Amino acid sequence: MARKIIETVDLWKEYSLGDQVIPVLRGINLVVEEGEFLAIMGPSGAGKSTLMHILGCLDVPTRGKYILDGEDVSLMNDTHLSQVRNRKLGFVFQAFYLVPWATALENVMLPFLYADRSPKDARERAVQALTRMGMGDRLKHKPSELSGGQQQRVAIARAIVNDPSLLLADEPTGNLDSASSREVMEIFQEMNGEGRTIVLITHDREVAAYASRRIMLKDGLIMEEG
Amino acid sequence: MMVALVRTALGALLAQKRRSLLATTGVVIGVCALMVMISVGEGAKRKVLKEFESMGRNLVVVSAGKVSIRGGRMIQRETATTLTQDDAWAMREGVPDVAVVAPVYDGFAMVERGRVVVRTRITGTTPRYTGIRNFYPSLGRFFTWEELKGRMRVAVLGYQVAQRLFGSLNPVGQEIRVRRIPFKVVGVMEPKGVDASGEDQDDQIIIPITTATIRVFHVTYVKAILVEARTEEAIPRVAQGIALLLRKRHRIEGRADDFTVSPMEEVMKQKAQAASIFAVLVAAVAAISLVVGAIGVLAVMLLSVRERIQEIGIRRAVGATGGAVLFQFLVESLVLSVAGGGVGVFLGVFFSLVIALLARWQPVLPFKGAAVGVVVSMITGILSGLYPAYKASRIHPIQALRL
Repeated sequence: MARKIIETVDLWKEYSLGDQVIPVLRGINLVVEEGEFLAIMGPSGAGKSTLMHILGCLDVPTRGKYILDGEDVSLMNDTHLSQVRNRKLGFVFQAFYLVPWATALENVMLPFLYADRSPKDARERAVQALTRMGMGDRLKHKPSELSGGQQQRVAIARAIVNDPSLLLADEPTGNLDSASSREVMEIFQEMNGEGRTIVLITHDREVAAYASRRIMLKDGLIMEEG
Repeated sequence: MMVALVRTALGALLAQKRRSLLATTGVVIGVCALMVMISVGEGAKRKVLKEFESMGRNLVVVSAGKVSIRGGRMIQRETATTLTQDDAWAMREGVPDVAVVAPVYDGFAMVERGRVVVRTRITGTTPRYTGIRNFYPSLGRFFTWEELKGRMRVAVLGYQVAQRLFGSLNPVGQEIRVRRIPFKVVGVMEPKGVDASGEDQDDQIIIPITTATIRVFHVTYVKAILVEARTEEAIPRVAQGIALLLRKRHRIEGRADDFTVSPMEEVMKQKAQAASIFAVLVAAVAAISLVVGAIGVLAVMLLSVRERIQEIGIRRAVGATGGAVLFQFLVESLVLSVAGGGVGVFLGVFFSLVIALLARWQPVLPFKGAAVGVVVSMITGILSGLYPAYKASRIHPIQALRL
């Protein structure tokens, strides 16, 4: 049996609004094994983003357990979660989220700034990641000097530069035209082919079609798998 | 890690050049003013001390007429013709703790050597003058009591007068004419510069007082009597004794004194005070600009945190802890202030030297001021960066990335 990268047990997330408690996730049981490419789909308001935040260690569940790559992160404090993000996670966002005043290379090197021990070849690794994304000739470019597709490729390079256990993508094609979208999704498929575990969040069926497995989230519950 | 953080800070600051520049202006001015204050204080203190030493110890100046002291300078308000050489001798005999007296009559006159003519101050006094003023000839000799008693036409030239009249020649033994009266030069005084009285001691010719009053100026009175007290503690007593004696001798009853007794210690104290008042003023400017500078850095850092919420979110997402974000913004604020402090130190050195040049005191390279300036700018940076950095570190990554 393959290694479990994600394992959640009865994961709840509730927000309190005044004296009202609004459950957003209502008992999520999800297992993602190493090498899987999972698409989480669902209408807006279904709890996709909340689930993504918890899976990405940006937020903690109200109840339940989340084991990421063998580490129980559901009770970790902010500092430990930061370290887990640094070691085990890579993020790709809809809005790219690059530091606007830094170059492509500096953006990709960012995770190493916060690593316990920055590798000696940090720069070399960043150049490699960018080259892999076809951005090897744009190292010194600022985000504003790049197209949307190029910016997203820089963001993907940043997400994989520390060789994470899990790559999380939140609507990665939401701000891209169809040609760039196809390119980006092909990159994801290619990386999955090399064994990288990817969780993709989208409401777009066409995008979800690139994944090897799809689940549907509705009203805070996993409704169907297929 | 540290190097990378400083580089990051520099990158972020350079991305907003004009704003960073504005933010540091206050720190620049503050540190500059601080350094000027320190070096002005130091320079003024040294100058006053030097003047004090060169003036002669335990000196009390008795002037004819009314003299007031403003900012350490003696200013003649009224003149009188009632102070005499006999008053000087009477002081020496009649006032306890008077060690030495030297009457002085001075006035301006044209002095010729061949075709060279200069206008300078002619100071008539006695051989005691050298000891009281701590002021000696560097070439030749001073005149003697015999020459004084014989109203001899001998002259000791001030350093600068000697240069103007004789250039590089040795003036000793040469002849000059003071108001057409021939004098023999017997010596040249050492260079001394402007002393506590505000007069250039190098721009004068010193002759026996008898010669000055009788042969040159045709007067019977003197302008001042220099008195040296035996000890520092005796100065107030001596000043009081002189006043009593002169009132009796000049028959002053129910009218204002026709003389002024000025213990030079007081004059110097006033002078030191004047210098310190200036230093206090500069200190106030320094303090105000540093506060303004700190607020400037604070405001810019707050603005920067607000504008860079998304960047903070990105950093948190890739693994920056709250502490790392705090540290980054603290470093940024520190770099900002220290850069300002560095420019301030540079300007401070410049202005300190300019002021030293203008005030004609020895330039003190303000190392102490530079060190204080750097430290103060660091403290400013940390203090004004603390709150913005704390705010930045409390921003939750989800909220930051929702924008």
